[in-house]
Amino acid sequence: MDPLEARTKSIQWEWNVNILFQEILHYAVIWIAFLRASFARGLQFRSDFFFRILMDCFYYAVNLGFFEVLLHHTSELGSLNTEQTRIFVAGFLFMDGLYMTFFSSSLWLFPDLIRKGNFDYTLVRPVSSFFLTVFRDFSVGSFFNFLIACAILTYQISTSSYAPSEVGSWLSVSLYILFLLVGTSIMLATRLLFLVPAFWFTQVDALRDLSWSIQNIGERPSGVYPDRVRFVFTYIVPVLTAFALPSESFLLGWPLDRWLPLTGVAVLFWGVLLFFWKQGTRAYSSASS
Amino acid sequence: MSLPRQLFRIELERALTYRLDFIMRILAKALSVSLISWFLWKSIFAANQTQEIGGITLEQMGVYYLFLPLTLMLVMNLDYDSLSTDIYDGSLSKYLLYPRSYLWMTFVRKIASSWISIAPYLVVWFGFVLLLPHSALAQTPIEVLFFYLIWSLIAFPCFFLLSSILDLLAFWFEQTWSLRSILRFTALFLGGGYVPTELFPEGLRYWVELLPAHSMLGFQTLVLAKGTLPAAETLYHQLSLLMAWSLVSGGVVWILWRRGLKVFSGSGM
Repeated sequence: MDPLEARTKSIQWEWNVNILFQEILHYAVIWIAFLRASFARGLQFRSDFFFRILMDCFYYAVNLGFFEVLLHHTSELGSLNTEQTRIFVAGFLFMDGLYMTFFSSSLWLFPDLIRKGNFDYTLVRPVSSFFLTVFRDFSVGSFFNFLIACAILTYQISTSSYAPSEVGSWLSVSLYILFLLVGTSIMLATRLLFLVPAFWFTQVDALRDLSWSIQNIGERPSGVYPDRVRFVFTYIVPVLTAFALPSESFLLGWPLDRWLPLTGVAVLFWGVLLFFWKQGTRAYSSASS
Repeated sequence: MSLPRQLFRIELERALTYRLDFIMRILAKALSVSLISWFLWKSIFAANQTQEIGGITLEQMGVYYLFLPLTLMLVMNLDYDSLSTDIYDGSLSKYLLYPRSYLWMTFVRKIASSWISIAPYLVVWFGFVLLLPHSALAQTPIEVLFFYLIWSLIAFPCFFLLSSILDLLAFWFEQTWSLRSILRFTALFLGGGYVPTELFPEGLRYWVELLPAHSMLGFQTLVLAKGTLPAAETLYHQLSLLMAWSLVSGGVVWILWRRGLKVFSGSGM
């Protein structure tokens, strides 16, 4: 390669990196604007804001209470012992809090936007329609509960034998948090895949309800299910991959057969989702959709 | 045609407009609750190598969780939130001009919506009975099944009144759906919607059984699961508890309704 060609390639690479950085910055600025608007809107209706916090607190209390009643009768739940089960519960509450805070409000409105033709306003804007749809609404009320979920997870880990005491265990906990984030992203992709048919069908409320119902499957340790059921909900409808595998990988010492599906399914489902999103936005024909 | 029959017909038409959506929603909820709970309890029974937990066998647990979604649909149909919506968007104004009580109409519509929703469940259960003719489910005595349905009908007004208290707060607050969700979570947990209340720790169980949720949901479902009618003493106790809570809730609903109408602007929030 002659020096001129090498120099041209180097400049082109720098240019591409520069554009990518500017794009990320651009979207970060938009997201901060969404955040400000969401805070202003959320705090405007104070009673609703307070009730939402209260509602999520009850949701957490009920889930913790449910597992405590189960643990009152058994010391082993799907190959997890009492201590591990408590961390498992805290893990899915953390993911639920994350999802409810960052994505749930936006996704709730999505089918209605399409049905009523209001998705036009998303498509005409000079930014990614996917980004606008997924990140538009930040749930301020749920954010406070997400902090409570973080506190529950911290408490459960720090009072268990999994409490980090050396560099290796700190790495393990960091990896666990990373896997919880990956699990949340799989949950987001799965939920969206249940909603994307809204581009082609009038009513997807049943599919939305179905996606909520099957989330419950992931909120139990994967060991309680027979092999075939576990396979279906790990690879085909990956609710176990999203909810159970991150915690089980951490609690059972990162076995390959647990965390490999997690990363593989995440990549696959995001690929499928983006494909259908592209097809859906092409098929969209305003209110007549 | 009488008003209740007319309202039943409207609700049926509403449900049948989006048939597939309606059936899928109900079956998805029912099957997810029943199957998840079945696998969970099967693994617990296997891990403990026991025949019964808290006096309930695995088979009875299966019947309990199979009928639980039906109980929830019959007693606490929370999908229907017309009361607070009507207050919020001002639709209440037109109903106030009708020569019928708005609360009575809402009650009939809700009960109609609940009982119409049981049709898809019945198909599933008939399937179960045909597939498993020797199971506890198939051999449930008819009088127990009858008791279960009558009790669910009696429990419905109690839950309707409790949820109406929260709905009527829409006269003063922008949103009340989160409060209804709180009621749903709490009633589900305390009423045996997650775990039969018989399995709660002894000290907690005493207090939980004084609350209305157990009488509304778990009581008749467990009677059905066990396949035997309760003792007369238990029956009177549960019935008086249900009546007492209904009366108290009814009183609160009446007060909120009267006061709410005074602050209702006619055009919603």
